[in-house]
Amino acid sequence: MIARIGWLLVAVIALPSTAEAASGTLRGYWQFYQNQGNYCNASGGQTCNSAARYTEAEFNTYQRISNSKVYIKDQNNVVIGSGVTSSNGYFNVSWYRASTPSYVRVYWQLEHKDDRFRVRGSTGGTYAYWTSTITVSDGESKYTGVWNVGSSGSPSGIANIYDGADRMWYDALNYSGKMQAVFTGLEIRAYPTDCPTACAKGSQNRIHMPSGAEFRPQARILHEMGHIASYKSNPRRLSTGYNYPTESLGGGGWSFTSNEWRATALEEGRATFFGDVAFYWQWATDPRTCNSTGPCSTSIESSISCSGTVGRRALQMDRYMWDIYDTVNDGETVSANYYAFFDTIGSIPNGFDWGEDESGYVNSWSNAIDAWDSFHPWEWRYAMLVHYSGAIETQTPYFNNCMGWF
Amino acid sequence: MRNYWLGVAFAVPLAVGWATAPSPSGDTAHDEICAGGAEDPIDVSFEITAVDRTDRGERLTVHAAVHNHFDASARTVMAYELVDDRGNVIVDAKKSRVASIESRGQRVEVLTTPEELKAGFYELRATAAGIDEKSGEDSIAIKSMFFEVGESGVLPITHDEFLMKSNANLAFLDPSSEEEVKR
Repeated sequence: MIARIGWLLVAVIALPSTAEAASGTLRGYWQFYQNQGNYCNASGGQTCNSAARYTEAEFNTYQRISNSKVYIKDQNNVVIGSGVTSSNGYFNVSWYRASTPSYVRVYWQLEHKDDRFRVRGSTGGTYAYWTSTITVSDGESKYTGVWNVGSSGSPSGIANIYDGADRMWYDALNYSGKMQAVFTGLEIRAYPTDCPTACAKGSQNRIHMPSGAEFRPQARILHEMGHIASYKSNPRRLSTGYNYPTESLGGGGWSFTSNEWRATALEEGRATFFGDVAFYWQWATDPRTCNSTGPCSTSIESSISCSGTVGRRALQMDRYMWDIYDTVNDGETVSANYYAFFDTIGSIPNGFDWGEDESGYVNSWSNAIDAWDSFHPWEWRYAMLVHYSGAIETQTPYFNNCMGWF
Repeated sequence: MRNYWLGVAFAVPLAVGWATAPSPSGDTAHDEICAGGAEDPIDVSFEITAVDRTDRGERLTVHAAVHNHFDASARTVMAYELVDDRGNVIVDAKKSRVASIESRGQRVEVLTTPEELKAGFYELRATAAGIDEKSGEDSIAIKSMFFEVGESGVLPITHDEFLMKSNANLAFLDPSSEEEVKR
């Protein structure tokens, strides 16, 4: 042991002098101006118990930028230090350089610290916010202050998208072991013009957020991340066509209450549900969802009379999923863990027959469809009961939410 | 008078920033299935209809349309304001009158930007609210467009360009943050 230490000492002495190298530490906070709608609206009469994860008190205030990478760059824009923000936006990052830089800046590049997701430009270029210039000296540990992104006059859309994604990860997806294993590297692009509402591209691990999508989290970033989670649970074709009864793979223009092929309504409603959980946990008594930059007036728990084709609505699928998940007894007592949904999707056998993951399709090599309503919610009920190891019977919430009316 | 269209002006793709993300794999059939998120019940779109030069500078004429995608008519109102790249209000929020729009219809407000704008970068932001007159459901939409004022006049730019060229990226130092406080 002594001999080894001696060798190390010799090695240190033999190194060229590094006396001219400089280093230091910068500390501070990153915040952004919170402008996302869909908060729990107590002043508007909504019941907001402890299950409400995003409340009115946060809206239109500065909130922390948490769990994100930050970089220190010198006057030549060269990275000389990197670190992450904590859950309260705090950073404490060391820098190293051959000599003391004339000044530095701290950069926030909208990247999750563990690479779960990142927000990029419309063609994938890096976005960044930075501090004003900071003078530093060798050996100094310096507090730089609280750095705000956006303002009440001009909230940053991309910072709000980042926060929505951060909430989706930490308040929802993070509770699934399957998601911890597979949900990584998601690229969220703002604002490409190829998708007028928003799009999740499963096989590319990418979300396209158009202009106008940044402040309506439940219908946009949370929902689209729900699609990505659905795809990552079991890579497959997620649905058939839109706009029932039109037999076309194109379409779009759907809403929470439009008539859709049941496979499509299921996938859209389930993706919405996956995002709802980021804002409301199991014991919420007044959970809501909507497509708006304001607070939501539509309750997930509202029941409607079963008539006509209401079982084709994404909103009813969302309610069916919510009733499987919640612990509130509203005519049913099913209460599945959040992770059970992803594990169920993952447990569905690959194939093109009834109950298999691409049951609407004829085969794997074409988009020919022979069952436009499949994979439909009764197949989902079967999957939770038979394929999922937890074997959950969801028949009561299925019929309570008019799934039989299509 | 010069006339050109927003769609043309915004069609030029631009890389942003200081690094380029790895190129993802190509499209597959899986991607053909996602037709996009739910349609906005209330939406706003912009169309630049004219760029006029006067003695005092150039001004944009913008048609801001509020679209009603509810299944019933909707009572709507729109407000718009102009801010610079540091969030300073250049034109205070102005509100339109409340008006009803039939389902799948739209109403258009004609906006003009001030001619005396100094060189710099600007964001025109519109906020529209609508209430479905049958169900009582409401929805709010916020939409922005960006433009640059320079020696050659007024030029519409993309959000990417706005962030790349303006001072919008520069974070604000909170004035109350000079002393470090444990949070």
